[in-house]
Amino acid sequence: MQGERNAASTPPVGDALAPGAGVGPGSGPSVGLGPSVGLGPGPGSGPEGVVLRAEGLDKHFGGVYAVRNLTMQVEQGHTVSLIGPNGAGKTTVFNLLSGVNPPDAGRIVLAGEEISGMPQHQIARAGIGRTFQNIRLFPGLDVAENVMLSLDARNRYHWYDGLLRLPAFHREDRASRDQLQEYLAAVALEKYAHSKPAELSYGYQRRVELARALAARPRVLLLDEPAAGLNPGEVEEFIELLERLKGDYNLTILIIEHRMQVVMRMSSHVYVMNFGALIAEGTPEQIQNDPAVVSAYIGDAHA
Amino acid sequence: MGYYLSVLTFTSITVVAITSIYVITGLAGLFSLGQAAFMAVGAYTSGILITRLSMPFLPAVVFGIAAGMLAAFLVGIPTLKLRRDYIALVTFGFGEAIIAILNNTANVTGGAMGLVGITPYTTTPVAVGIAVLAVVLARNFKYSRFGRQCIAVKNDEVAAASMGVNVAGIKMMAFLFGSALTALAGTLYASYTTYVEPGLFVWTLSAEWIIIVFFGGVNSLTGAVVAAVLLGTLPEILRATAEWRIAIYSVLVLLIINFRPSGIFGEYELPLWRSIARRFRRAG
Ligand SMILES: Nc1ncnc2c1ncn2[C@@H]1O[C@H](COP(=O)(O)OP(=O)(O)O)[C@@H](O)[C@H]1O
Ligand SMILES: [Mg+2]
Repeated sequence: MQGERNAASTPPVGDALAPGAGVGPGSGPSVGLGPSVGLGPGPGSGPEGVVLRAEGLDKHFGGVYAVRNLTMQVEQGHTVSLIGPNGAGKTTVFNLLSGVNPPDAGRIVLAGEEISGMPQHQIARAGIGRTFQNIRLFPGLDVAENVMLSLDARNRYHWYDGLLRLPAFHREDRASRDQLQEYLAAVALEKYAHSKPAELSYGYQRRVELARALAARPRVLLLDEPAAGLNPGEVEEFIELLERLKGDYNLTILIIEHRMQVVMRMSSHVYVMNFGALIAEGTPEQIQNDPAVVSAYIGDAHA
Repeated sequence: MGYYLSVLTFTSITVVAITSIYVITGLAGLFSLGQAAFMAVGAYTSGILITRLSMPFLPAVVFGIAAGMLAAFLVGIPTLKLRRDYIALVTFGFGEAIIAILNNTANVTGGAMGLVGITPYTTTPVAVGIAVLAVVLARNFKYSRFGRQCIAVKNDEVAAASMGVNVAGIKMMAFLFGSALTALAGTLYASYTTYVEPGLFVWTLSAEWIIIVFFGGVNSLTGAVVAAVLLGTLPEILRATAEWRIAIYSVLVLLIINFRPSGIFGEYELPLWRSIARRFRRAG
């Protein structure tokens, strides 16, 4: 049902993330379709490395254009930032990419496959993983079960295997639990496996959410203000954690972040939004000195 | 002795029905105010097959369950997409409609007079055994990926879908599995009392079941079973009339809402029920 992406027995640094996984004949047509935004001259910016591409996205709520004619792309193995003042439309972009809301116009291509218009759970299974600006863990499941849920989406045992505990259930459930230990260890939360999310501190809840998103083995991981609410020390720790995970799991990350500390340290490319539209893009250094960006942030609390 | 065996049998049938509500409401967070109608579908289907076609018990039970699931599927398609508060209303409407159909097809169902002369296949051991089986199946479901997906969808549909959960699919699965258990309770009932009438399965029965599940703790299968045994047995022992039952349940609702909103058991489960999961965790 979920295609041949992942066999339950393979280790988590998976086939889906193998070099060149984003290259497919299907990614060909997208070349040259985005004249509105010049491709940055940075390393690895050739279209063959593009794993996620959005073209001409529009979204309005009532009379408000939350996103307007937005074109952007993320390359395999890169960390790309999306920044902008509050209300700029950043979270809405994530909601469009992950299928929470369908775009009014435009298309989204993930690894050569058009995902815009697909149901949300199929987009997730196609390889878009995400966290939420306001942490959205499942309060009725413990930490381990929250992470298990992501592994569950890949399991293929049937309802009768589960009801009667047939061998397929035991085999896959056991494989998932082994992987679960690894993801809990990756965010150093093994001790809290049987705690409910509500019993954990804010910072730990963020880590559970990260583990849950990681366990889905996304092709592209969308992080919506993951460092919000952390103190400066915790932010440093968080950057280190994220860098380590990025290396271990060969992640491709699109991150919304207000903290320049995070943006400058982590990203190879930055997109800047204001009032639903892109106002600039480039390397962190280019963005820092861009007059349009500076003026957009003047008067904004997060400048 | 016979009297206590009869209480035990009725309680076992109630346990099967309550298990179905635990799956639908406790796990998936769906409120069905028409669930008793699926018990009627199971009871009537098996009853008619036994009386009219002299079908043996086992195939009659299988057909009764299948008919219950078919009815749940037809009710579920337009209903489960709705907002949760509407689901309760619409299932209520469907439930009453099914009762009306049973009332108005007297040539097949006996109408308001009821269906009589069903062979009494349901012995006490059969009822107890099936109740145990239903509880084990519900426990297995809870600790499978499907149970986790149900709870995730109950908590936060958007987040669940973002993790790859087919929200509509898992709701339908919970509704079908639950309704299969409800219909199973119906087949047991029909072959125990040997007589069924539409008035037995109206919405007040569905509401009683939901109250029982909340009394035990909507997040605890252990609680649901204990509450089913307590509240299924108590009125029988007290020989309470129907009016008194409603009064007892109303007081219970007030007590629970005010003093223990998460039910007697909260989220507690008997350790035994999780033992297999634990063993795997230790191995992992
Ligand atoms: N579901 C929604 N319904 C109505 N308006 C929305 C919705 N989501 C976002 N918006 C509006 O779209 C604009 C952009 O919001 P958002 O994407 O959350 O911005 P950001 O994440 O950059 O702070 C805001 O004006 C917000 O009120
Ligand atoms: Mg936001």
